[in-house]
Amino acid sequence: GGRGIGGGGGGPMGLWDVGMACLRRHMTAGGSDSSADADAMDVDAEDAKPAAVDASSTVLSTLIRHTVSSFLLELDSLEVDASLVRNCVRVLSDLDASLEFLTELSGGAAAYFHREGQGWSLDGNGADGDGPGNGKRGGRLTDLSAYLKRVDGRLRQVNGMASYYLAGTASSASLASLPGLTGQSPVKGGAAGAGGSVSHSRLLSSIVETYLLAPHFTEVGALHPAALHPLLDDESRVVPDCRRLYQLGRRVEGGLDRLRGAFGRYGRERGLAIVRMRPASAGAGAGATPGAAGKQDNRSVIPSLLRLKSHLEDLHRRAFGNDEHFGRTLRSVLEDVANAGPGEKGQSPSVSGQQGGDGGRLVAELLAKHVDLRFKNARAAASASSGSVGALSADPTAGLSTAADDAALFQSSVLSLFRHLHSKDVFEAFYKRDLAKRLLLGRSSSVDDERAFVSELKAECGGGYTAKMEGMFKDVELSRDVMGNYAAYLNSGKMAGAGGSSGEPVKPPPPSEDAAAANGTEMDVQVLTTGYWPVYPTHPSLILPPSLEFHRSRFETYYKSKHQGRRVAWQHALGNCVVRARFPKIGGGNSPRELVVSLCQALVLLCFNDDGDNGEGYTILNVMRKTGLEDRGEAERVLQSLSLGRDGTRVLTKMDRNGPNDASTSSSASSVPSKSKKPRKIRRSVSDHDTFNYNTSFTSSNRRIRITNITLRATPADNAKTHASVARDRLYLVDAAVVRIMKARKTLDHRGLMAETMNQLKFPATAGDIKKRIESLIEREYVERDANDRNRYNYLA
Amino acid sequence: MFADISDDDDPHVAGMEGISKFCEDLGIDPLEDIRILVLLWKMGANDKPAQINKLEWQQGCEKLQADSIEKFRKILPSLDTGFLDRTEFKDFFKFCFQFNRQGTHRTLDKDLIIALLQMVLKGRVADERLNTFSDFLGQSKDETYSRITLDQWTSFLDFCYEVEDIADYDEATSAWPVLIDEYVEYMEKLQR
Repeated sequence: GGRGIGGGGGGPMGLWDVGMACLRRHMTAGGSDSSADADAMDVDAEDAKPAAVDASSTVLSTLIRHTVSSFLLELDSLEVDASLVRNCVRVLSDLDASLEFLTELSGGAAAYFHREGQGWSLDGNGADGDGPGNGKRGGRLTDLSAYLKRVDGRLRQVNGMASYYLAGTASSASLASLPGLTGQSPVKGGAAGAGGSVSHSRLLSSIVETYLLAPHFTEVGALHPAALHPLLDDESRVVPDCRRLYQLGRRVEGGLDRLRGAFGRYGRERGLAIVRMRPASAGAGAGATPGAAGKQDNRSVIPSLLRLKSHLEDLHRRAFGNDEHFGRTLRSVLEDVANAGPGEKGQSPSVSGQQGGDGGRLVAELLAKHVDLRFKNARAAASASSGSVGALSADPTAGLSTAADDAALFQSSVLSLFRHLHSKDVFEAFYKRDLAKRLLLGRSSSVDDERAFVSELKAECGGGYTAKMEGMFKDVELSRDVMGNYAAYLNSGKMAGAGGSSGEPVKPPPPSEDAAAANGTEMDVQVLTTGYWPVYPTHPSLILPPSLEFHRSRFETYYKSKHQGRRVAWQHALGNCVVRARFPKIGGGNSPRELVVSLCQALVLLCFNDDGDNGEGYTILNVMRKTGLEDRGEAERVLQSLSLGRDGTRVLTKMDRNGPNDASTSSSASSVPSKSKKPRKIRRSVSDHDTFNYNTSFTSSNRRIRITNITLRATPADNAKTHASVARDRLYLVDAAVVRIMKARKTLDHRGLMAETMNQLKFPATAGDIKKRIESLIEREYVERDANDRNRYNYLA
Repeated sequence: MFADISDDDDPHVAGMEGISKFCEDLGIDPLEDIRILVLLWKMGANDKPAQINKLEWQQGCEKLQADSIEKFRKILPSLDTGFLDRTEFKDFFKFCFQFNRQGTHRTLDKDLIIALLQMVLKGRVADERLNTFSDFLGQSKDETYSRITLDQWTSFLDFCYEVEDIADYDEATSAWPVLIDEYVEYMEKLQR
C-alpha cells in the first residue's frame, strides 16, 4: 500500500510527504468504479477489476496523458506552453508519479518515432525507382543527406526537450524496462549508471536512436553504396554531412565498424576504377575519376589516384575526426589500390599480359611516368596535376605558392603513393630509364629537384636502391669537369692535370689545322660510366662526316691518355646535333634554319647535300650505305621522322615507288598543286625502292626546329621489355635468397624455406614462383630433396 | 661377346646400334620391350646415356652369371619388373630416365617421357593415374613442360606411391613439383 501517515518522524519534509500522499490519493481516486481506492490493494478476488480501466480516467492519469501529448505536439513542431508543461512534469515528480509518466512518455515517443521511421528507404530503390538524389517525398526520405539531417535534427530537438523538461525529474533506476527501448542498450556513451539503466536525459534520444537511426544505419540502408558513395564523393559535403554520418554512427551499436567497412569499400571501389581505367559512373564527384563517361588514358591515372587519396584523407581528418581505426582502413585501402593490377578489362597495353592483381607493377610504371612528365616540364605538369594539391593547401589565402613549395608538394605526394607499392623495383627500372634520357638530352627542368627526389628515395629504400641513379648524376657532373679540362687543354697546348703513364704527353694539333678540320662545328661530350646507365643500341659502323670524326678522334685520344686502360665506346644512338640548313623557300636560301636532331638523323640529312642519282634522291639502302647505319629498322624510323612527321618538320620528301623505275606519289609539301590526279596517300612503311630527297618546298617560320626521332620515345614494346627485365631480375633474387638460406641452414623443411624466402624478398612472390625456382636449383644441383623426407631440402656444397 | 656389339669406332663402348643388335639376338624388341632396360640397369650401364662400356659389360656379365646369348636368353624371364620391390624399382625408374638422355642434355623431351611412362609404369601404377597424367602432359601448352627434369620424373613415381587419392592432396603446403600441383588442378577441373 502507499505510505502510511505518521511513521517517518515529524518536521517539514514529513508534512510535505504526507500532503503529497494525500494529494496523490485524491488524484488517483475516482473513475467509473468507485470501489477503486489506490491504497486498497488488498482487493478481494471477486471484486477485482483491472486497474487499467480506472487509471485511464483518474486525474493523475489524465495529467500524465496530457503532458505526454504536449511532448508529442512539440515533436510535431506545434506550439505548446513550455513552462506549463515543465511545471506539470515537476508536479508529477513531486507526486512520485515519474515512473508512470516516463513510462507513458517513452511509449508515446516510441510509437511516434516508429511511425516516422517506417517506410524510409535509403537504398535508392524507391518504389518508382528514384535515385538517392531525391529529397523528401511525402514523408519518405530517399536522400541520405536529408536523412542524416533529419535524424540529427530530431536528436537535437529531444535533447533540448529533455534538458528543459525532464531535468527536474528524479532520476530513477531501471528505466531500461520501459517500452520503446529494446532489450539491449543501443547507446554508446551517455548512459548513466551501470547495468542497463538509462538516465532520463538519454531516454528520448535513445528512443530516437532505436527507431530512426539503428534500423537504417546498415549496409542496405544508409551505408548502401548507392546512397553512401555519392555523399562521400562530394567534396562540399565532407562537413557537415559526412561528419554527421560519423557522429550518428557512434550512437549505434557497431555503427562505426559498419561505417568503417563501408568507407573501405568505397575507397577500394573508386581506387580500383581508376587503376583499371573503367569509365567513371555518372555524376561522380571528386572521389571518382573526373570527366564522367569515356575511358581514361594512362596519364590521368596517377593524378586521379592522388586526388582520391587526398579526398579520403580529407574525409578522415574532417569528417571522421582522425579516428585511428579509420586511419588504418584508409592505409589498407591505399595499399590494395596501389597494388591492384589492370584486371581483365581495360588492360594497359604497356603491362605485358598480366591479369588481376599484379603486385603494383602497373601503378609503379605509371608513377614513374608521372614523375618523368613532371621533371621534363615542371610548369606544364604542375598545372595538369594541380588536383593533387587540392585540399591540402595549408593556407588558401597564401596566394601563389613558390616553385619550391610546388616541388616539395609534388615530391611528398609521389612518395606517399610510392610507399605503398610492393613493386618498387619496377618503379626503379622505369624511373632510371627515364632519368637517363632526361639527363642525357638535357630535358630535365631542374636537376636540383631531381637530386632531392633521389635522396628521398634513398631515405626510403636505402642506398642500394639509388646507387645507380646517383652514379648518373655524378657522371653528368664529371663530364662537365672533363669538358672543362679538355677545353683548357686545347687552349693551352699542354696537358691539364696528371698525365698518363705512357711517357709522352699528347700534343694537341696546331690551331690552323683545327679550324679547317672542324669546319665550324663544336662538340660536347658526356662520359657515361658503364653500369650506371641503361644499355643502348650501338651503331658501331656509323660513318661520321670528317668534321665530327675530327672532334671524335681528338677527344678520344685525349681521354684515353688521361685514363689509361679505360675502354671507350661511343653511344651514337644518344648523340644529338644542331644542323644548319638552308632552303630555297626560306629567305631565298639565305636564311638558315637550325634543325635539332639526333646524330643519326643528322648523318642521314647530310646525305642529301647532293641530289643522288640524276637528282632522283636516295633509297633507304643508299642511305644506309652512305651513313654506315646497318640497322634497317632504325634507318626507316629516321627517314620517316624526316619526311612524314608533323607539319613543319618534313625536310625530306618521300616518293613511293613499287619498282626501280616506277614513279608514284611524293610527299612534298602541300604547296604542290594537285589539280591533275588525286594525290595518293604516302605509305608510312619504307620499301627498298622508295626514294627520298631534299624538300625544296620546305618552309617554316621557326628559327629552331626540333625533329623528334621516334626511337627515343618509349614504345609499348620498350615498356614491356622493362617489365620483363625486372621479372628476370626477380628470378635471380629468389634464387640468391634460397641459396643463401639453404647455405646457412644446411637442411630445412619446405614450409620453413618458403616462409624464410618470402621474408627476405622485398617484392611480392607467390608460393608457386618460389617453388619453381627451388626446382630449378635442384636441377642445377645447388639443393637436393632429402632422400627420406619429401618435405625437406638439403644444401649441396 | 662384347666385340659383336661394340661400336665401329670405339671397341670399348656399345652404343644403341650394338644394343639393338644384341636385342635381336635375344629375340626381343629393343623399342617396345622393357626388359632390355632392366638388363642394362642390372648390368650397371651408368656411365653415359644410351650406351654400355666394356667394363660395365664385363662386370654385368659376371654379376648375372651370363656369358653367352643362350645364358642371357635364360635369364630373360627374371627381368620382369614385377620382381622388383619398391626401392629397387625406384632406382630402376631413375635409370630409365638417365639412360634415355641424349648426349649432355639433362632433360627429356615431353613426348618421349609420355611413351616411356607408359612403357615403364604399366601395371606398376594405377591405370587411371598413368593415363590421366599422360593426357595432362599431352594437352599442356606450357612451354616449360616441353622438357621434363629428373626431379619431376622421380617425383611422379613417389607421388603415385604416396598420394593414391587426389582428394588428399594439399596444394597450399605441398612440396611436390609445380608440375604435380598443376596435374592435380587439371584433375579437379575435369571432375567438375
